[in-house]
Amino acid sequence: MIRLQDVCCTYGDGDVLSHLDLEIHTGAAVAFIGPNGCGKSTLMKLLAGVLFARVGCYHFDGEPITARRLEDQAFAKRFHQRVGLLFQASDAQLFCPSVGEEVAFGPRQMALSEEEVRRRTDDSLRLLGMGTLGDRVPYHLSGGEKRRVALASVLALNPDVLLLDEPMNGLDPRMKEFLRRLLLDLNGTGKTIICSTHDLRYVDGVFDTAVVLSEDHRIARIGPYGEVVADEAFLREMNVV
Amino acid sequence: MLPSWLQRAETYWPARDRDGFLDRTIRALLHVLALGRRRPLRCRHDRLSDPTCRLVCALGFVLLVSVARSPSFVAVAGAAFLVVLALQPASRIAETLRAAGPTAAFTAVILLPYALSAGPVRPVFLVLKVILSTGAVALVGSTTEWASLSGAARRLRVPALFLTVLDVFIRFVALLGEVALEMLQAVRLRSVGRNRNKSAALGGVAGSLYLRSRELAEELHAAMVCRGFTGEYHSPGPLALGRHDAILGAGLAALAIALFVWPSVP
Repeated sequence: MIRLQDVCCTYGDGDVLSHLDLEIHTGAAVAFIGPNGCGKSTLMKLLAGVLFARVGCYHFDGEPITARRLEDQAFAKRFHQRVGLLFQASDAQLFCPSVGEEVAFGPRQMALSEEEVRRRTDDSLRLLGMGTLGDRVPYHLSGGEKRRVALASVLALNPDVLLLDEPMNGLDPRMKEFLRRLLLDLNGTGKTIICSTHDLRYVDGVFDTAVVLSEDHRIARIGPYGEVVADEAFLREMNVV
Repeated sequence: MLPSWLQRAETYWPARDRDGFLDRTIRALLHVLALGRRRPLRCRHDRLSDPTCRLVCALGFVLLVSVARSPSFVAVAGAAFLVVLALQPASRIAETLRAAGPTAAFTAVILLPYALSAGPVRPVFLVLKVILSTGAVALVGSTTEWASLSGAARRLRVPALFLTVLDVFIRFVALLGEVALEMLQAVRLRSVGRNRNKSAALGGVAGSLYLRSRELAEELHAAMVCRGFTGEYHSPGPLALGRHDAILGAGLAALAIALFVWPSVP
């Protein structure tokens, strides 16, 4: 489904992703693990088609994802519907005057009936425990609530691939546990879950694969999640724990 | 329990719509932010002259070029500017010309009706003045760090409040640009079909950005205060003028004399 070949990405003057080769199959649950500044968020944005590789190529379902390919508006919109990204900073993701409109923004463009849009909006908000907050102004919500609204607005698009950039940030322990179960359920329906995290405690059992990024912006190791996180000496060397 | 629609794959193909404005805005913002992130080019010549002398000479140059009414004088000033520019590394020459070029082009467009009615001489004269003035300022900006520049401005008795506003603005614009970029990218990512109300989404971005900008400005100022900033910019000790400052000063004096030799349009 997702294939990166020798991908390098630059930010300012320096490389933030260096020669990445990676393959992710449909329905996989993959965790990107690595220290701060190793390029996890950049990789997420690259996979979402927000940033593009300086060299190398990124294929999604066999199609190259490049700036030029995404100039085809129909293709770009379909791609963005299929690949949902939860930003690390939820503040930047909320731009509508009310929580309800925020979640309905995507479905409303998908030519769904107004009844279906309302159903998706209510379901998404209820799923994330925000059922009563539909009329609130997103800007005035707490950090954790903003995060949940942002996730609800991504889920309302029903994407095939969920990219979650540090989803546990700003959530209380109960919400983290809830999100862990939600990710398991979503993965159980065949959705591909890709998540960057350094909060390893709360994502136990969710992922089948771990990709460890090193401080020099390369992939240091790809392996079964349980095996990788059990290798404490390696994680310590990678500055993850 | 997941709702039924979330458990099945979406069979959706988007209707045609035009989002060129959003894409162009994102690309332009990315370009501006990339410029801001670029490390300033430094070379060994930069430390040869005093920042205050450089600032005074640049301001003096801009003043002389602005008041000049003789094309001959502007030609001489242009030659002097080219000599200084030629001593810089190639990438800095390109950077200076990139800064001066668009301003000159904009001026040329504004002056086009006048050029069509009264001939091209005066508009070309004005465009040359704009190129020289913006070029000189861009050159000082690229050869002098902001800390040295604010120190030089303080030495010239520029009010601390003015420098504070400028300082916060320079640091803040990059931060706000990053937030604006993320917001526009969020709109782009969720614009997955025909959006009949694009202006509302962009209005939402503008509104959120305004609220966020106020918060950011307060946080930025608080961060500066926490690191000992009191609103005072200290003058950086006595002037340390050298041979290169003397050459710059002599060049400016020669230009000032030339202004009196060619006082008006021949």
